Amino acid sequence: MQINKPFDDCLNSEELLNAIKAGREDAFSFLFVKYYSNLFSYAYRILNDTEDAKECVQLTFCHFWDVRKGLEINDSLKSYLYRAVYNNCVSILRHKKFLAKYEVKGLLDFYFTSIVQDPQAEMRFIDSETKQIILNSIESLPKKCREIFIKCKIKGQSYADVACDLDISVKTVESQMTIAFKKLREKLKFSLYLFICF
Amino acid sequence: MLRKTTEDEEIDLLISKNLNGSASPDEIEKLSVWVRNFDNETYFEQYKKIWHVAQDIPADDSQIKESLLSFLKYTRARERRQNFRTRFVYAVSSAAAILLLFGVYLFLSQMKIQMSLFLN
Repeated sequence: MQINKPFDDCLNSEELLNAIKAGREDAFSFLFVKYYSNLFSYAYRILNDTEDAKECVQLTFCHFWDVRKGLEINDSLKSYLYRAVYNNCVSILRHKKFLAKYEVKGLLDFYFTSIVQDPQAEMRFIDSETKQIILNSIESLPKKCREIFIKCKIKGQSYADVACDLDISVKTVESQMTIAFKKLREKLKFSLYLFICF
Repeated sequence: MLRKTTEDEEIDLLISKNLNGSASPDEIEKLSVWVRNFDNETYFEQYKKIWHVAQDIPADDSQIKESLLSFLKYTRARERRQNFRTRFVYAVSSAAAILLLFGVYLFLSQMKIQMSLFLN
């Protein structure tokens, strides 16, 4: 299978859109290869499950193929795809009854306004300098320190659980977190200056 | 992120659990109340940015290739089905047209016989 790159300069062009509407395989392959990884990552951060995220992106592209002839794009193919992935993620969450725990507290709006990242925010985030700076700061942490930081602050494990997992003392977890905080504070103070308030 | 007391550790835990979908209804409610405060909301927004960066796990090449192949398999199968359906529709309509013509011919010839009988 060959993956052509004839559309690289004309992402929003009529030519690409027409090729999509005509069902040209090279146009679909081009979009697939270009956006798959980012769309997968986006879906993963909404669904918090690798298999669901894979399925969601696959579903999105298959549906994209099915509706190609009647496709109406008012903004861009890219934002169409991000929006489609977002909508499919929400459908999957609904199907899995994940949103029930928000509904039960009357906090469905809280989920949509504050927890889930909407497609516009995601598109802004993906190429932002903020993302690059945060990434560099996290990557600059020593390996062990980074591992502990991710477990505690990203995966949501308690200090005690992490200590148990890694077979170290809670004191060590705490001191590693102090190092992580100190380093991140140094690195992020220009872009995320608000952090130093805390 | 840069909090260190036990209470602050609990807040961080509350936020990360909400972001990764493992929060209980009570923990969801607790956070929704906590972020109403201006400073807290700011902290929460910054936390979210870091969380998204750390959880941004791109797909590797083999996954992309595998998924693309399965997508193309889908599109080709759909296209084959579409072509088959088109051909099927053509075949059925041609058969119907032939039958119709034949029927008209029979009808007309019957008419002709009856007309000649009548005239004679």
